[in-house]
Amino acid sequence: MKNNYNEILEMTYTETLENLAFIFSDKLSEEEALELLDADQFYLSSMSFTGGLEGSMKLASEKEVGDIIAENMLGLMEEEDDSLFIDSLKEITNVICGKMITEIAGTEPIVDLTIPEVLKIDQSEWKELMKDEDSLVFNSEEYLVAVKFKLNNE
Amino acid sequence: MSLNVLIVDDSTVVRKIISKTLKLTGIPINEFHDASNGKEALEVLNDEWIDIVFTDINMPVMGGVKMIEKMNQDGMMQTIPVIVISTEGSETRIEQLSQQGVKAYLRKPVTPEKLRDVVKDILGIKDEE
Repeated sequence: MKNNYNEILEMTYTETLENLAFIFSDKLSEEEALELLDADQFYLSSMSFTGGLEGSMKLASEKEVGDIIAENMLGLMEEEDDSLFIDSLKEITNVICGKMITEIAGTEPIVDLTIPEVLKIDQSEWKELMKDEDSLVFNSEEYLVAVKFKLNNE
Repeated sequence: MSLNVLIVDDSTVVRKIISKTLKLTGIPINEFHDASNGKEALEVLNDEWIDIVFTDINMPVMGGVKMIEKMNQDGMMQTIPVIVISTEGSETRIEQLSQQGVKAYLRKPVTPEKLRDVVKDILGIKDEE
């Protein structure tokens, strides 16, 4: 990833999770992430954008991250509805993507965002995403999250 | 006066957050209605008395912009104040929506204070002395 987007993505991701869901995150190196890697299944939330800026964003996390986000955002003691974690992952992806676009392109251009879609992926697919040059990986409340933000034509 | 509120967003989590946040504002709420897209919202608006609408922009089936256009084509619906709550930050979009009659544009995530101030301002609700 271009170095200038690395810093923006790290800041945007960590601030969004803190402000929206009270989750604190640390960026990890690939080696650190592989040492912590234990889960077999992850959930991949993907979206893209067109218009004043074009590209895509992916966020792949363990289910527990979505659970924690849903519980913290809604003030739940435990998740009322098991499907809320998917909703939470979509919303976090949406918010981070919107903020990234504003940081990079400013507030003038209109950028159309797709609605995030969530798929289940396995550990090897997560590793592939994590190793992508446009990805960062985080430890969020002891769970791994890989985030990729890429502009087209870069 | 107690308000009948319509919240339009494809995310269940976001609809719950907005309703919880509205409860925290202290503004008297009579009923919450929700819809997961603009088409569902228009059906609610046809069937129920709604005092104010909070809507996202990007939704499946029918997005917020199209929904607002449709509301403006209806004599009754066009009088209902609409507040957009979205992740988008384009001032060009905000200006376009303002020209369509949207009363306020809030960027997610919204705080109870921001929501309270906007609703009070739009509906002319005064603080009790």
